[in-house]
Amino acid sequence: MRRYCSVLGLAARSTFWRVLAATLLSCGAEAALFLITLYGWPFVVYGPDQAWKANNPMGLEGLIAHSHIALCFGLGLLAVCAALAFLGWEGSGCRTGYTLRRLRVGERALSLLWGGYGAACLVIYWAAHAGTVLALCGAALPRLSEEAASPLSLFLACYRSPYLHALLPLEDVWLLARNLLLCAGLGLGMAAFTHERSHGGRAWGWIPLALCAALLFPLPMGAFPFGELDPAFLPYLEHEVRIYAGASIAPGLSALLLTAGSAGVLVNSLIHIGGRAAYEK
Amino acid sequence: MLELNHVRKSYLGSCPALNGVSLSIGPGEIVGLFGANGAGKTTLLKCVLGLLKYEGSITLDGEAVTHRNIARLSFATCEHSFFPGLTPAAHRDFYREHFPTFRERRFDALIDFFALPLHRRARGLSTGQKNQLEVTLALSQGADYILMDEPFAGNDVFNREDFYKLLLGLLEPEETLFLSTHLLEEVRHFISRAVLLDKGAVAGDMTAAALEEQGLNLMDFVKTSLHYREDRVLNTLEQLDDGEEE
Repeated sequence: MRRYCSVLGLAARSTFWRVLAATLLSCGAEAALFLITLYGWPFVVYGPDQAWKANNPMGLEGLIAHSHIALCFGLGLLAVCAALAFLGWEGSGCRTGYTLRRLRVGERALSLLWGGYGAACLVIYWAAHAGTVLALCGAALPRLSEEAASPLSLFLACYRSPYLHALLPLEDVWLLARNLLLCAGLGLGMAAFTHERSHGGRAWGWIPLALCAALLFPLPMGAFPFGELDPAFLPYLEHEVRIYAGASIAPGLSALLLTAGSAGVLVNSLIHIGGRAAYEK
Repeated sequence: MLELNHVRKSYLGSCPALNGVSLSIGPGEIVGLFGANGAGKTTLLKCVLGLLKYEGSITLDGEAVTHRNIARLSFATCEHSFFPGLTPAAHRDFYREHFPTFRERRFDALIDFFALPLHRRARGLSTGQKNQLEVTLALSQGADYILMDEPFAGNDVFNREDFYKLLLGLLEPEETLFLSTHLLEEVRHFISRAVLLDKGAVAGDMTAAALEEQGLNLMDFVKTSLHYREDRVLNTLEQLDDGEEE
Protein backbone atom coordinates (compact mmCIF):
# COMPACT_ATOMS: atom_id res chain seq x y z
CA MET A 1 0.00 0.00 0.00
CA ARG A 2 2.81 2.39 0.92
CA ARG A 3 4.32 1.69 -2.48
CA TYR A 4 1.17 2.96 -4.20
CA CYS A 5 1.06 5.97 -1.90
CA SER A 6 4.63 6.80 -2.80
CA VAL A 7 3.92 6.88 -6.55
CA LEU A 8 0.88 9.03 -5.83
CA GLY A 9 3.17 11.24 -3.78
CA LEU A 10 5.45 11.48 -6.78
CA ALA A 11 2.52 12.67 -8.90
CA ALA A 12 1.44 15.14 -6.24
CA ARG A 13 4.95 16.56 -5.88
CA SER A 14 5.20 17.31 -9.58
CA THR A 15 1.74 18.78 -10.14
CA PHE A 16 -0.01 19.69 -6.89
CA TRP A 17 1.25 23.26 -6.59
CA ARG A 18 0.50 24.00 -10.25
CA VAL A 19 -3.02 22.60 -9.92
CA LEU A 20 -3.54 24.54 -6.70
CA ALA A 21 -2.27 27.74 -8.31
CA ALA A 22 -4.58 27.34 -11.33
CA THR A 23 -7.52 26.62 -9.01
CA LEU A 24 -6.87 29.59 -6.75
CA LEU A 25 -6.25 31.97 -9.66
CA SER A 26 -9.44 30.96 -11.47
CA CYS A 27 -11.49 31.16 -8.26
CA GLY A 28 -9.94 34.56 -7.54
CA ALA A 29 -10.74 35.81 -11.04
CA GLU A 30 -14.26 34.47 -10.66
CA ALA A 31 -14.70 36.36 -7.37
CA ALA A 32 -13.29 39.55 -8.87
CA LEU A 33 -15.63 39.45 -11.89
CA PHE A 34 -18.62 38.66 -9.71
CA LEU A 35 -17.91 41.47 -7.23
CA ILE A 36 -17.27 44.00 -10.02
CA THR A 37 -20.66 43.11 -11.51
CA LEU A 38 -22.33 43.14 -8.10
CA TYR A 39 -21.11 46.64 -7.17
CA GLY A 40 -21.60 48.06 -10.65
CA TRP A 41 -25.13 46.70 -11.12
CA PRO A 42 -27.48 49.30 -12.75
CA PHE A 43 -30.80 49.04 -10.94
CA VAL A 44 -32.38 51.23 -13.64
CA VAL A 45 -31.43 50.96 -17.29
CA TYR A 46 -31.99 53.78 -19.76
CA GLY A 47 -32.53 53.59 -23.49
CA PRO A 48 -30.76 55.83 -26.05
CA ASP A 49 -31.15 59.54 -25.18
CA GLN A 50 -33.00 58.39 -22.08
CA ALA A 51 -36.06 57.79 -24.28
CA TRP A 52 -37.10 55.05 -21.93
CA LYS A 53 -36.06 53.61 -18.63
CA ALA A 54 -36.72 50.25 -17.03
CA ASN A 55 -36.14 48.55 -13.71
CA ASN A 56 -33.30 46.09 -13.71
CA PRO A 57 -33.85 43.96 -10.61
CA MET A 58 -30.77 42.17 -9.31
CA GLY A 59 -31.17 38.40 -9.15
CA LEU A 60 -28.54 35.79 -8.48
CA GLU A 61 -28.84 34.09 -11.86
CA GLY A 62 -28.64 37.48 -13.60
CA LEU A 63 -25.51 38.34 -11.64
CA ILE A 64 -23.89 35.03 -12.55
CA ALA A 65 -24.81 35.38 -16.21
CA HIS A 66 -23.68 39.02 -16.51
CA SER A 67 -20.40 38.53 -14.69
CA HIS A 68 -19.33 35.78 -17.16
CA ILE A 69 -17.70 33.83 -14.35
CA ALA A 70 -18.17 30.59 -16.27
CA LEU A 71 -15.29 31.80 -18.47
CA CYS A 72 -12.96 31.72 -15.46
CA PHE A 73 -14.03 28.16 -14.77
CA GLY A 74 -13.31 27.15 -18.36
CA LEU A 75 -9.89 28.80 -18.52
CA GLY A 76 -8.96 27.45 -15.11
CA LEU A 77 -10.04 23.97 -16.17
CA LEU A 78 -7.74 24.14 -19.19
CA ALA A 79 -4.85 25.28 -16.97
CA VAL A 80 -5.46 22.44 -14.50
CA CYS A 81 -5.61 19.93 -17.35
CA ALA A 82 -2.37 21.28 -18.83
CA ALA A 83 -0.66 20.94 -15.43
CA LEU A 84 -1.93 17.38 -14.99
CA ALA A 85 -1.00 16.35 -18.53
CA PHE A 86 2.62 17.10 -17.71
CA LEU A 87 2.55 14.65 -14.84
CA GLY A 88 5.70 12.61 -15.20
CA TRP A 89 6.98 15.24 -17.63
CA GLU A 90 10.60 14.42 -18.28
CA GLY A 91 11.71 17.98 -17.88
CA SER A 92 15.25 19.03 -16.99
CA GLY A 93 16.52 16.54 -19.59
CA CYS A 94 15.54 13.53 -17.48
CA ARG A 95 14.07 10.21 -18.60
CA THR A 96 12.08 9.36 -15.50
CA GLY A 97 10.19 6.74 -17.52
CA TYR A 98 13.26 4.49 -17.38
CA THR A 99 12.94 4.35 -13.60
CA LEU A 100 9.15 4.22 -13.52
CA ARG A 101 9.19 1.09 -15.66
CA ARG A 102 11.41 -0.67 -13.14
CA LEU A 103 9.00 -0.15 -10.26
CA ARG A 104 7.24 -3.21 -8.93
CA VAL A 105 3.82 -1.55 -8.96
CA GLY A 106 3.80 -2.06 -12.73
CA GLU A 107 3.43 0.59 -15.37
CA ARG A 108 -0.28 0.01 -15.98
CA ALA A 109 -1.14 0.26 -12.30
CA LEU A 110 0.96 3.40 -12.14
CA SER A 111 -0.93 5.01 -15.04
CA LEU A 112 -4.29 4.04 -13.55
CA LEU A 113 -3.24 5.50 -10.20
CA TRP A 114 -2.18 8.71 -11.90
CA GLY A 115 -5.50 8.77 -13.77
CA GLY A 116 -7.31 8.51 -10.45
CA TYR A 117 -5.16 11.27 -9.04
CA GLY A 118 -5.99 13.51 -12.02
CA ALA A 119 -9.71 12.80 -11.64
CA ALA A 120 -9.51 13.60 -7.92
CA CYS A 121 -7.76 16.91 -8.69
CA LEU A 122 -10.57 17.81 -11.11
CA VAL A 123 -13.24 16.94 -8.54
CA ILE A 124 -11.43 19.23 -6.08
CA TYR A 125 -11.32 21.95 -8.76
CA TRP A 126 -15.06 21.55 -9.31
CA ALA A 127 -15.72 21.65 -5.54
CA ALA A 128 -13.53 24.75 -5.15
CA HIS A 129 -15.54 26.60 -7.79
CA ALA A 130 -18.86 25.44 -6.34
CA GLY A 131 -17.72 26.69 -2.93
CA THR A 132 -16.53 30.01 -4.35
CA VAL A 133 -19.77 30.68 -6.25
CA LEU A 134 -21.89 29.73 -3.23
CA ALA A 135 -19.86 32.06 -1.01
CA LEU A 136 -20.21 34.85 -3.58
CA CYS A 137 -23.96 34.29 -3.86
CA GLY A 138 -24.20 34.34 -0.05
CA ALA A 139 -22.38 37.68 -0.05
CA ALA A 140 -24.70 39.05 -2.73
CA LEU A 141 -27.98 38.02 -1.08
CA PRO A 142 -28.37 41.18 1.07
CA ARG A 143 -28.04 43.34 -2.06
CA LEU A 144 -30.66 41.53 -4.16
CA SER A 145 -33.64 43.51 -5.36
CA GLU A 146 -36.95 43.01 -3.59
CA GLU A 147 -38.38 41.15 -6.56
CA ALA A 148 -35.57 38.62 -6.56
CA ALA A 149 -34.97 38.34 -2.82
CA SER A 150 -36.54 35.41 -1.10
CA PRO A 151 -35.42 32.75 1.32
CA LEU A 152 -35.27 30.37 -1.63
CA SER A 153 -33.20 32.60 -3.95
CA LEU A 154 -30.04 30.53 -3.73
CA PHE A 155 -31.90 27.27 -4.08
CA LEU A 156 -33.78 28.49 -7.15
CA ALA A 157 -30.61 29.94 -8.67
CA CYS A 158 -29.14 26.44 -8.61
CA TYR A 159 -31.86 25.50 -11.08
CA ARG A 160 -32.13 28.74 -13.00
CA SER A 161 -28.47 29.51 -13.67
CA PRO A 162 -26.87 27.04 -16.11
CA TYR A 163 -23.42 27.57 -14.59
CA LEU A 164 -24.52 27.22 -10.98
CA HIS A 165 -26.71 24.30 -11.97
CA ALA A 166 -23.73 22.54 -13.55
CA LEU A 167 -21.64 23.20 -10.43
CA LEU A 168 -24.40 22.11 -8.06
CA PRO A 169 -26.83 19.84 -9.93
CA LEU A 170 -28.76 19.00 -6.72
CA GLU A 171 -31.31 16.39 -7.81
CA ASP A 172 -30.26 16.41 -11.46
CA VAL A 173 -28.44 13.09 -11.19
CA TRP A 174 -27.73 12.90 -14.93
CA LEU A 175 -25.80 16.13 -14.77
CA LEU A 176 -23.99 14.91 -11.66
CA ALA A 177 -23.09 11.74 -13.55
CA ARG A 178 -21.89 13.82 -16.53
CA ASN A 179 -19.59 15.84 -14.29
CA LEU A 180 -18.14 12.75 -12.63
CA LEU A 181 -17.69 11.05 -16.00
CA LEU A 182 -15.98 14.19 -17.30
CA CYS A 183 -13.53 14.18 -14.36
CA ALA A 184 -12.82 10.47 -14.85
CA GLY A 185 -12.45 10.84 -18.64
CA LEU A 186 -10.09 13.80 -18.37
CA GLY A 187 -8.08 12.24 -15.53
CA LEU A 188 -7.54 8.96 -17.33
CA GLY A 189 -7.10 10.71 -20.67
CA MET A 190 -4.19 12.71 -19.29
CA ALA A 191 -2.68 9.61 -17.66
CA ALA A 192 -2.95 7.78 -21.01
CA PHE A 193 -1.24 10.76 -22.65
CA THR A 194 1.69 10.44 -20.22
CA HIS A 195 1.72 6.65 -20.57
CA GLU A 196 1.78 6.76 -24.37
CA ARG A 197 4.37 9.52 -24.49
CA SER A 198 6.82 7.42 -22.52
CA HIS A 199 6.44 4.73 -25.21
CA GLY A 200 6.81 7.18 -28.06
CA GLY A 201 3.07 7.00 -28.81
CA ARG A 202 0.28 9.58 -28.73
CA ALA A 203 -3.06 9.78 -26.90
CA TRP A 204 -4.45 13.23 -27.58
CA GLY A 205 -8.11 12.52 -26.74
CA TRP A 206 -8.09 14.63 -23.57
CA ILE A 207 -7.35 17.86 -25.48
CA PRO A 208 -10.64 18.18 -27.45
CA LEU A 209 -12.49 16.92 -24.38
CA ALA A 210 -10.92 19.61 -22.18
CA LEU A 211 -11.74 22.29 -24.77
CA CYS A 212 -15.35 21.10 -25.01
CA ALA A 213 -15.61 20.98 -21.21
CA ALA A 214 -14.30 24.53 -20.94
CA LEU A 215 -16.96 25.74 -23.39
CA LEU A 216 -19.91 23.51 -22.63
CA PHE A 217 -19.70 22.97 -18.88
CA PRO A 218 -22.63 25.27 -17.93
CA LEU A 219 -25.82 23.37 -18.62
CA PRO A 220 -29.41 24.36 -17.84
CA MET A 221 -31.81 22.10 -16.11
CA GLY A 222 -33.61 19.59 -18.29
CA ALA A 223 -30.83 19.39 -20.86
CA PHE A 224 -30.82 15.63 -20.60
CA PRO A 225 -33.97 14.50 -22.45
CA PHE A 226 -34.26 11.43 -20.26
CA GLY A 227 -33.83 13.38 -17.03
CA GLU A 228 -37.07 13.83 -15.18
CA LEU A 229 -38.02 17.36 -14.32
CA ASP A 230 -40.22 18.00 -11.35
CA PRO A 231 -43.31 19.77 -12.82
CA ALA A 232 -43.37 21.97 -9.76
CA PHE A 233 -40.30 23.77 -11.11
CA LEU A 234 -41.81 24.61 -14.46
CA PRO A 235 -43.47 27.89 -13.47
CA TYR A 236 -40.12 29.14 -12.14
CA LEU A 237 -38.07 27.88 -14.99
CA GLU A 238 -40.14 28.48 -18.10
CA HIS A 239 -42.07 31.61 -17.42
CA GLU A 240 -39.92 33.66 -15.05
CA VAL A 241 -36.45 33.43 -16.48
CA ARG A 242 -36.87 31.41 -19.64
CA ILE A 243 -33.69 29.42 -19.28
CA TYR A 244 -35.20 26.00 -18.92
CA ALA A 245 -33.69 23.94 -21.70
CA GLY A 246 -36.80 21.99 -22.60
CA ALA A 247 -37.66 24.27 -25.50
CA SER A 248 -34.21 24.31 -27.13
CA ILE A 249 -32.20 21.55 -28.74
CA ALA A 250 -28.76 23.13 -28.17
CA PRO A 251 -28.34 22.30 -24.45
CA GLY A 252 -29.42 18.72 -25.13
CA LEU A 253 -26.81 18.42 -27.87
CA SER A 254 -24.09 19.90 -25.71
CA ALA A 255 -25.02 17.56 -22.84
CA LEU A 256 -24.86 14.59 -25.19
CA LEU A 257 -21.58 15.71 -26.75
CA LEU A 258 -19.75 16.17 -23.46
CA THR A 259 -21.12 12.99 -21.89
CA ALA A 260 -20.44 10.82 -24.91
CA GLY A 261 -17.04 12.46 -25.39
CA SER A 262 -16.10 11.78 -21.75
CA ALA A 263 -17.16 8.15 -22.04
CA GLY A 264 -15.27 7.81 -25.32
CA VAL A 265 -12.04 9.27 -23.92
CA LEU A 266 -12.40 7.11 -20.79
CA VAL A 267 -12.71 3.89 -22.80
CA ASN A 268 -9.99 4.91 -25.25
CA SER A 269 -7.62 5.73 -22.38
CA LEU A 270 -8.26 2.38 -20.72
CA ILE A 271 -7.46 0.68 -24.03
CA HIS A 272 -4.25 2.71 -24.36
CA ILE A 273 -3.11 1.95 -20.81
CA GLY A 274 -4.23 -1.65 -20.75
CA GLY A 275 -3.26 -2.50 -24.29
CA ARG A 276 0.39 -1.60 -24.31
CA ALA A 277 2.56 -4.12 -22.49
CA ALA A 278 5.60 -2.59 -20.85
CA TYR A 279 8.08 -5.20 -22.04
CA GLU A 280 6.49 -6.20 -25.32
CA LYS A 281 8.66 -7.34 -28.20
CA MET B 1 22.88 -15.21 -16.05
CA LEU B 2 21.84 -12.50 -18.50
CA GLU B 3 21.52 -14.06 -21.93
CA LEU B 4 20.95 -12.33 -25.23
CA ASN B 5 20.16 -14.48 -28.25
CA HIS B 6 20.17 -13.09 -31.78
CA VAL B 7 18.91 -9.69 -30.66
CA ARG B 8 18.01 -7.54 -33.63
CA LYS B 9 16.76 -4.00 -33.60
CA SER B 10 16.01 -1.65 -36.47
CA TYR B 11 14.92 1.94 -36.35
CA LEU B 12 12.57 3.20 -39.04
CA GLY B 13 14.40 4.41 -42.12
CA SER B 14 17.89 3.39 -41.02
CA CYS B 15 20.15 0.34 -41.16
CA PRO B 16 19.88 -2.18 -38.29
CA ALA B 17 21.10 -0.82 -34.97
CA LEU B 18 21.59 -4.36 -33.64
CA ASN B 19 22.22 -7.19 -36.02
CA GLY B 20 21.88 -10.51 -34.22
CA VAL B 21 23.75 -9.85 -30.98
CA SER B 22 24.28 -12.92 -28.78
CA LEU B 23 25.94 -12.61 -25.38
CA SER B 24 25.97 -14.31 -21.99
CA ILE B 25 26.93 -12.33 -18.94
CA GLY B 26 27.32 -14.20 -15.69
CA PRO B 27 27.18 -13.08 -12.06
CA GLY B 28 30.15 -11.12 -10.79
CA GLU B 29 31.47 -10.03 -14.18
CA ILE B 30 32.49 -6.47 -14.88
CA VAL B 31 31.92 -6.14 -18.59
CA GLY B 32 33.03 -3.17 -20.63
CA LEU B 33 30.97 -2.50 -23.74
CA PHE B 34 32.94 -0.61 -26.35
CA GLY B 35 32.38 0.58 -29.88
CA ALA B 36 32.37 3.64 -32.08
CA ASN B 37 29.50 6.13 -32.01
CA GLY B 38 26.41 4.50 -33.53
CA ALA B 39 27.72 0.97 -32.95
CA GLY B 40 24.57 0.09 -30.97
CA LYS B 41 25.80 0.20 -27.37
CA THR B 42 22.98 2.31 -25.98
CA THR B 43 20.40 0.45 -28.06
CA LEU B 44 21.65 -2.85 -26.66
CA LEU B 45 21.34 -1.67 -23.06
CA LYS B 46 17.85 -0.29 -23.72
CA CYS B 47 16.76 -3.58 -25.27
CA VAL B 48 17.99 -5.43 -22.17
CA LEU B 49 15.88 -3.12 -20.01
CA GLY B 50 12.82 -3.56 -22.22
CA LEU B 51 12.80 0.12 -23.15
CA LEU B 52 12.86 -0.73 -26.86
CA LYS B 53 11.14 -3.37 -28.92
CA TYR B 54 13.48 -5.93 -30.45
CA GLU B 55 13.60 -9.30 -32.17
CA GLY B 56 15.34 -12.28 -30.57
CA SER B 57 15.34 -13.08 -26.88
CA ILE B 58 16.78 -11.62 -23.71
CA THR B 59 16.46 -13.64 -20.53
CA LEU B 60 17.49 -13.23 -16.95
CA ASP B 61 18.21 -16.62 -15.39
CA GLY B 62 16.08 -18.20 -18.09
CA GLU B 63 13.09 -15.87 -17.68
CA ALA B 64 12.06 -13.05 -19.96
CA VAL B 65 12.56 -9.58 -18.51
CA THR B 66 9.18 -8.39 -17.21
CA HIS B 67 7.98 -6.22 -14.35
CA ARG B 68 8.40 -9.26 -12.08
CA ASN B 69 12.18 -9.36 -12.41
CA ILE B 70 13.03 -5.94 -13.82
CA ALA B 71 14.10 -4.74 -10.37
CA ARG B 72 17.07 -7.12 -10.69
CA LEU B 73 18.40 -4.67 -13.28
CA SER B 74 19.40 -1.09 -12.59
CA PHE B 75 20.39 1.56 -15.07
CA ALA B 76 22.60 4.63 -14.94
CA THR B 77 22.44 6.69 -18.09
CA CYS B 78 23.90 9.98 -19.21
CA GLU B 79 20.31 10.91 -20.15
CA HIS B 80 19.51 10.70 -16.39
CA SER B 81 16.58 8.70 -15.10
CA PHE B 82 16.15 10.22 -11.64
CA PHE B 83 13.24 12.48 -10.69
CA PRO B 84 14.30 16.11 -11.12
CA GLY B 85 11.82 17.36 -8.52
CA LEU B 86 13.12 15.08 -5.76
CA THR B 87 16.11 15.63 -3.52
CA PRO B 88 18.68 12.85 -3.06
CA ALA B 89 17.12 12.21 0.38
CA ALA B 90 13.65 11.87 -1.19
CA HIS B 91 15.12 9.54 -3.82
CA ARG B 92 16.50 7.38 -1.00
CA ASP B 93 13.02 7.15 0.59
CA PHE B 94 11.39 6.41 -2.77
CA TYR B 95 13.90 3.71 -3.74
CA ARG B 96 13.71 2.14 -0.27
CA GLU B 97 9.96 1.81 -0.75
CA HIS B 98 10.11 0.33 -4.25
CA PHE B 99 13.24 -1.80 -4.20
CA PRO B 100 13.30 -4.20 -1.25
CA THR B 101 17.01 -4.88 -1.72
CA PHE B 102 17.91 -1.18 -1.67
CA ARG B 103 21.40 -0.71 -0.20
CA GLU B 104 20.98 2.24 2.09
CA ARG B 105 24.48 2.12 3.57
CA ARG B 106 25.98 2.12 0.09
CA PHE B 107 23.75 5.05 -0.88
CA ASP B 108 24.89 7.07 2.14
CA ALA B 109 28.53 6.18 1.52
CA LEU B 110 28.36 7.25 -2.13
CA ILE B 111 26.53 10.47 -1.27
CA ASP B 112 29.33 11.24 1.18
CA PHE B 113 32.00 10.25 -1.33
CA PHE B 114 30.61 12.55 -4.01
CA ALA B 115 29.74 15.21 -1.40
CA LEU B 116 26.26 15.52 -2.89
CA PRO B 117 23.83 17.89 -1.15
CA LEU B 118 21.21 15.60 0.36
CA HIS B 119 18.41 18.16 0.46
CA ARG B 120 18.75 19.98 -2.85
CA ARG B 121 16.38 19.06 -5.68
CA ALA B 122 18.05 17.01 -8.39
CA ARG B 123 17.24 19.60 -11.07
CA GLY B 124 19.34 22.12 -9.15
CA LEU B 125 22.49 19.97 -9.19
CA SER B 126 25.38 20.55 -11.60
CA THR B 127 25.82 18.16 -14.56
CA GLY B 128 28.62 16.33 -12.77
CA GLN B 129 26.53 15.99 -9.62
CA LYS B 130 23.58 14.73 -11.64
CA ASN B 131 25.80 11.99 -13.08
CA GLN B 132 26.96 11.13 -9.60
CA LEU B 133 23.41 10.90 -8.29
CA GLU B 134 22.44 8.73 -11.26
CA VAL B 135 25.32 6.34 -10.59
CA THR B 136 24.63 6.35 -6.84
CA LEU B 137 21.03 5.32 -7.42
CA ALA B 138 21.94 2.58 -9.90
CA LEU B 139 24.52 1.11 -7.52
CA SER B 140 22.25 1.37 -4.47
CA GLN B 141 19.09 -0.07 -5.99
CA GLY B 142 20.18 -3.55 -4.94
CA ALA B 143 20.11 -4.92 -8.48
CA ASP B 144 22.04 -8.01 -9.52
CA TYR B 145 22.87 -6.51 -12.92
CA ILE B 146 23.93 -2.87 -13.04
CA LEU B 147 23.84 -1.35 -16.51
CA MET B 148 25.65 1.91 -17.13
CA ASP B 149 25.68 3.98 -20.29
CA GLU B 150 28.40 6.62 -20.36
CA PRO B 151 27.69 7.41 -16.72
CA PHE B 152 30.46 9.96 -16.33
CA ALA B 153 30.10 12.06 -19.46
CA GLY B 154 31.03 15.51 -18.19
CA ASN B 155 32.77 14.52 -14.95
CA ASP B 156 36.32 15.49 -14.11
CA VAL B 157 39.09 12.90 -14.40
CA PHE B 158 39.93 12.79 -10.65
CA ASN B 159 36.35 12.00 -9.71
CA ARG B 160 36.21 9.27 -12.33
CA GLU B 161 39.47 7.62 -11.33
CA ASP B 162 38.63 7.67 -7.63
CA PHE B 163 35.19 6.34 -8.37
CA TYR B 164 36.49 3.33 -10.31
CA LYS B 165 38.83 2.53 -7.43
CA LEU B 166 35.95 2.81 -5.00
CA LEU B 167 33.73 0.67 -7.20
CA LEU B 168 36.17 -2.24 -7.10
CA GLY B 169 35.90 -2.34 -3.33
CA LEU B 170 32.20 -1.64 -3.34
CA LEU B 171 30.78 -4.35 -5.57
CA GLU B 172 29.75 -7.64 -4.02
CA PRO B 173 31.08 -10.80 -5.75
CA GLU B 174 27.65 -11.62 -7.22
CA GLU B 175 27.00 -8.15 -8.60
CA THR B 176 27.46 -7.74 -12.33
CA LEU B 177 28.37 -4.49 -14.03
CA PHE B 178 27.73 -3.91 -17.73
CA LEU B 179 29.39 -0.63 -18.57
CA SER B 180 29.22 1.16 -21.89
CA THR B 181 31.90 3.81 -22.25
CA HIS B 182 34.41 5.41 -24.58
CA LEU B 183 36.93 5.90 -21.78
CA LEU B 184 38.96 2.78 -22.49
CA GLU B 185 42.13 3.87 -20.75
CA GLU B 186 40.33 4.62 -17.52
CA VAL B 187 38.46 1.33 -17.24
CA ARG B 188 41.13 -1.04 -18.61
CA HIS B 189 42.37 -2.05 -15.13
CA PHE B 190 38.90 -2.32 -13.79
CA ILE B 191 36.93 -4.52 -16.22
CA SER B 192 37.05 -8.31 -16.28
CA ARG B 193 35.81 -8.63 -19.84
CA ALA B 194 35.57 -6.48 -22.95
CA VAL B 195 32.77 -6.75 -25.51
CA LEU B 196 33.15 -4.79 -28.74
CA LEU B 197 30.26 -3.77 -30.91
CA ASP B 198 30.63 -2.73 -34.51
CA LYS B 199 27.68 -1.83 -36.75
CA GLY B 200 25.26 -3.60 -34.43
CA ALA B 201 27.18 -6.87 -34.18
CA VAL B 202 29.66 -8.30 -31.68
CA ALA B 203 33.09 -7.68 -33.18
CA GLY B 204 35.09 -8.96 -30.23
CA ASP B 205 34.56 -10.54 -26.84
CA MET B 206 37.51 -11.35 -24.60
CA THR B 207 38.22 -11.57 -20.89
CA ALA B 208 40.93 -9.47 -19.30
CA ALA B 209 42.77 -12.66 -18.37
CA ALA B 210 42.79 -13.85 -22.00
CA LEU B 211 44.05 -10.46 -23.13
CA GLU B 212 46.86 -10.67 -20.61
CA GLU B 213 47.73 -14.19 -21.71
CA GLN B 214 48.04 -13.02 -25.29
CA GLY B 215 50.09 -10.01 -24.26
CA LEU B 216 47.51 -7.59 -25.65
CA ASN B 217 46.30 -4.41 -24.04
CA LEU B 218 42.71 -3.27 -24.27
CA MET B 219 43.40 -0.42 -26.69
CA ASP B 220 45.24 -2.72 -29.14
CA PHE B 221 42.46 -5.27 -28.92
CA VAL B 222 39.83 -2.63 -29.65
CA LYS B 223 41.80 -1.13 -32.52
CA THR B 224 42.43 -4.52 -34.12
CA SER B 225 38.86 -5.77 -33.68
CA LEU B 226 37.30 -2.58 -35.01
CA HIS B 227 39.79 -2.38 -37.91
CA TYR B 228 41.04 0.98 -36.81
CA ARG B 229 42.94 2.72 -39.63
CA GLU B 230 46.09 4.27 -38.15
CA ASP B 231 46.75 6.16 -41.37
CA ARG B 232 43.47 8.02 -41.68
CA VAL B 233 44.72 11.20 -39.98
CA LEU B 234 47.79 11.29 -42.17
CA ASN B 235 45.75 10.63 -45.32
CA THR B 236 43.34 13.45 -44.52
CA LEU B 237 46.15 15.91 -43.83
CA GLU B 238 47.90 14.90 -47.05
CA GLN B 239 44.69 15.41 -49.01
CA LEU B 240 44.36 18.88 -47.51
CA ASP B 241 47.98 19.70 -48.37
CA ASP B 242 47.50 18.48 -51.97
CA GLY B 243 44.42 20.66 -52.31
CA GLU B 244 46.27 23.75 -51.12
CA GLU B 245 49.22 23.15 -53.48
CA GLU B 246 46.92 22.87 -56.49
